[in-house]
Amino acid sequence: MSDRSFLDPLHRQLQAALQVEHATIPPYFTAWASIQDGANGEAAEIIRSVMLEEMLHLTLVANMLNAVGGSPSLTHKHFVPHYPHQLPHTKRPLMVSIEKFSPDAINTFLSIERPEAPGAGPQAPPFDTLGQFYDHLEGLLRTLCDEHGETAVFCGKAEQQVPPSAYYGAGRLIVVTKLQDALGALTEIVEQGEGHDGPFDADAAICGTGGREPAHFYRFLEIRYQRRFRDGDADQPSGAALPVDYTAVHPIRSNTQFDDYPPDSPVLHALEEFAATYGDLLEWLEQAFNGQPDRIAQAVHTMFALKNQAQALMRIPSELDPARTVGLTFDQSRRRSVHRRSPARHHPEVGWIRTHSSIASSEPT
Amino acid sequence: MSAPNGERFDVVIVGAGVAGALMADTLAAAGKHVLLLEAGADRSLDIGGYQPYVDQYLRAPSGVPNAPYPPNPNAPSANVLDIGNPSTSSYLVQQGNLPFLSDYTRELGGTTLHWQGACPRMVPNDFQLHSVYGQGVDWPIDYAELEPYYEKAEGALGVAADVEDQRILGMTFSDGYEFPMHKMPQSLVDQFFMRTIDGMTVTLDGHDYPVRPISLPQARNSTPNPAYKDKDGRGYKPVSYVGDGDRGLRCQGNSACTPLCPVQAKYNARKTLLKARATAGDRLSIVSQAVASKLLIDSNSKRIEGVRYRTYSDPKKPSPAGEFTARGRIYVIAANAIETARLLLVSGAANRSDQVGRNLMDHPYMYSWGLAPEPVYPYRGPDTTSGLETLRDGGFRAKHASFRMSIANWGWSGSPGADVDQFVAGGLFGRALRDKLHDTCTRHVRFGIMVEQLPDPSNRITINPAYVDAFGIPRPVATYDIAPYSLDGARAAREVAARVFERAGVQDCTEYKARPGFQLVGRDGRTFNLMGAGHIVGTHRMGRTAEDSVVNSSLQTWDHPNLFLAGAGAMVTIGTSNPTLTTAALTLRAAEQVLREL
Amino acid sequence: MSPTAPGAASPLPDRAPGAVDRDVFLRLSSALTGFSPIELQGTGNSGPFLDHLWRIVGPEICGEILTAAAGALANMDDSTREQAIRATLWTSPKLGPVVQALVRLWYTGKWNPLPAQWQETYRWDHPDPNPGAVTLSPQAYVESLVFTAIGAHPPGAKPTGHGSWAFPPALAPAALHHVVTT
Repeated sequence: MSDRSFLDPLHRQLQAALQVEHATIPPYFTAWASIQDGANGEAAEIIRSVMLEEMLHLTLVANMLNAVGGSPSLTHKHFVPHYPHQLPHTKRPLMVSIEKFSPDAINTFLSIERPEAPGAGPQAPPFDTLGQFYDHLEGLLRTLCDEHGETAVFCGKAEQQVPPSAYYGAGRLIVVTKLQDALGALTEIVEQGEGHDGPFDADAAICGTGGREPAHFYRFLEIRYQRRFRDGDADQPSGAALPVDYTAVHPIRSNTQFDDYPPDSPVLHALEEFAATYGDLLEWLEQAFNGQPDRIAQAVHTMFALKNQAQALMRIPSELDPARTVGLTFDQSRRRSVHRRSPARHHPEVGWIRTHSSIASSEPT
Repeated sequence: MSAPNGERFDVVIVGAGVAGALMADTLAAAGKHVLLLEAGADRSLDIGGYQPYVDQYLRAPSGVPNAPYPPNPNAPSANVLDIGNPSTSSYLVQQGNLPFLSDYTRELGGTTLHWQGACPRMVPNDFQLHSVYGQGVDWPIDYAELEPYYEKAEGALGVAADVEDQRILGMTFSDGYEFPMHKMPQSLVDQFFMRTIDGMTVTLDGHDYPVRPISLPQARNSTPNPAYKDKDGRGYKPVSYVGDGDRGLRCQGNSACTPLCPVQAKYNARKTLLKARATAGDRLSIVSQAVASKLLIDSNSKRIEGVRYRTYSDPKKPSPAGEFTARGRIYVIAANAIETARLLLVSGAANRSDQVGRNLMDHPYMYSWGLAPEPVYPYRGPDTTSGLETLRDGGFRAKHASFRMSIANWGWSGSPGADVDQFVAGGLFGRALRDKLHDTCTRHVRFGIMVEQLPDPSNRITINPAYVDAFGIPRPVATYDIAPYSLDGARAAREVAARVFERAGVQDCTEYKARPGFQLVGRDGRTFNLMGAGHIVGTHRMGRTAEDSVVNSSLQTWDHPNLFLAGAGAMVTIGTSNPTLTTAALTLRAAEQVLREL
Repeated sequence: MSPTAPGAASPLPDRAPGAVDRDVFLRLSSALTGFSPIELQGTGNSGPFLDHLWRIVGPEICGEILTAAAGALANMDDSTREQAIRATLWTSPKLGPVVQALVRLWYTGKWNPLPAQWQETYRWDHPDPNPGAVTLSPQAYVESLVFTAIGAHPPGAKPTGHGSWAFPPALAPAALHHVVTT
């Protein structure tokens, strides 16, 4: 077995990319779920579609990592950041919160997705923009291929990856077996996220919906300016109105922590259950990304359940602040303790039991 | 929505349901100019045109098939909530021994808006019932001739099934054939029966038949089968919600297929209409709020020279507007078996055989339900993911009707709401109520049994000038009954269901009593609660000669060479399969003939 | 025939429910439904259901119900609490039909007008405007408790994902939950 240690930096960087792509999901999810049913349909749809594309990016990065012989990890202790958090591996100050849909949240999202300035160069972590990080990754891949040969770099098994058939909606998933695939995947991620040439993708075919869907950055601009982009627009949209009602939103507390609530509070236990459900999602994804792509289906089931649990939490008035409702936490530090609770896996006042207790045990295939 | 008047099209189609949409799509793709008239309300083919149905459903959730679709006094239809026996006040006048119990939808997309989506093929002997069993009437074509069109229809509707499961009862498939999508995942309820009745057989008329759950082919988005290739060698891409590329790419388990799928994972004919419009551009004109009132026939040539239609301005109240004539070289009526027959009768068209309106058939439909010995967690997923399909054919058909039994995923009819009411009335509240609901409802199992009905000329749609609609056009009048052949089949089915329950350890809770929407029908001391399955067929059947049929096997009327009748009305027998797939196959085959005529 | 909007157009009577009323109503609903208070809060229906009851049966009868409830709920023991509810509310000719209708409302999202005789006796001057059973609101339906109790979901909403019906549901049996109402 030849020495593969030259791939270690690449594995670390791709794992970092996994962490960065993931870190946006809890904030996007929270903003999306905080929109009250029936309101802000278009804005909700934008955030949902962006979130689903982030999941696609996560999967693309996982496929790339598998392609170069790495093993994606989503359940290790520090994978989920503690919010509010400086966006992982990013240089410029960018605190990301778990907060409701609001102008502040949209501003944060815009900062996350901000395209690189023209002429900005590739950057290893810590980087200014995600685009520059991916440029750096592209450079690293090319260098390694030049030095060691493409076959040595792309040494992973294709069967470890998630194939397109296991993944539907939100763009194009590919199996990565060579440098060209990896470069295509990186392009897809950056085009969808930041765009390169203004609001619309230069190559509409890249965009999975088949239509001219603006990149994430520009979609968030549409929410900020409450207008759609149309042909000819540069930085500000001048198209159809996109009505946004920031009051039709659950007034949740931001950046909820377990310790905010007393130890036997029913709300605390509901929060732990929610966080544990999120942990289930990460476990399913990790299994999917490590040779069991059919687990994507289970991850999807968990996402549906997560939304219901989130909305239920967000309707509960918070005992800590009369004007607000309970927020969300994605903190994984108590996951094991929730798992280990006795057969009645509940708190008397909570009533929720987490998704599939059998994640660790044998699953129906 | 302009109303072309005097403009001449290649083809004028009446009815934008599945048959009309497939016909329009095929013809327009072949470069023809097509006018499609729809009686129902003008609704856009995007989110804005469909979402109101979903909103209405959530305001007033009901399993009644037409509940989310607003009543339209200009284009009314049979209404399961308004069935008298007899009745002259309901839209569908009822004058038979039994009321005809099925309804349909007059909207863009037609009855496929509320259908369940089941797509089994007919079995070979369904086409030769008379030759093989001495019952019913033979079709002029057989399964082998229709087989390639079944494949096209499965591609057009997007059917999810695994071909290996479907090789039963003589059904054959072309070499290497694959369905567009993998079968719908089978439910826990299915899995329970698969486990508990493994190896079971029943005896009918002295012969043994296996009984086992088989996955039900359905037009509902599942995982695409990479081995599927269409005629151009392309793979299958699930068709999303019309106007929203991300929604509905997979069935997500909304469990509301009937009356509507909130995300359009289920096929509805709007998908075909959108596709047709995208392909054809302005070669295809779709005009809604246009009620066909009469076919104009040239007295010498007997050719159809126009379709007169009435328009209205407001779907919420009777609001006649104008009267126009649509002209084409060829006319296709695809207005469903009741409305097509009605239009023909009103026009005095295509009826040399005296078969128009006759041989009206449905599937008498009944439930058998019980309590499983363990939780099977129903009330989830599509209505049906598997059925007991093996008794759809057999020697017993010489004596009594065949049947198929859907394994229902949605628990008992009326439940779980009825259980809440019952337990509260019984004095339960709190923990005890919650537990009891859990303990019982998680074990609800039910079969939906559809029984074959033979063609009978006295089961028919007629018209009577005493009963007219808002435009003064005579309404359809139903004369309907269910013959002993079917009632004996129902009895056999009920016994099989009871045997299956017994074998599976299910406590049989089936009890038939009079209730609204159901007929209590009996024979020899056994009564059953029968209702309509929504499978309306037979009223303009095909045949070999003009003496005993209305159309030839290409759905072309014998009497008027430029008039085609696309729809389930052309079916000669109903078999035991939901008729939409067969209707689609017949329509695609007929479209070839239409193109040859042009 | 689709039901019309439930008497939601009329404003609340002059004496509106206060914070204490709402708290007692929540805990009473918990005892009546077998769902914990925060499960009920998670539905978002507690406020609207009390408002609805206030309109339909009036502040006086609501006041009697809440007073009896506060008394019954003071029992710490599950069994005596249940007995107290049954004695002072469930079997009361005046208050029983109301709390039974309330349980059905929580469980199904549907309001069933009280029997004609009850209305004639206790609310002859304020008949229920709803001719028959009516879904109170989309939220009442979507969050109706019966589906949670049986590990399912309301048809048309809260789908559980492609293929989820091939597996047991995510929620564990209700037998593991119990109600604490203080």
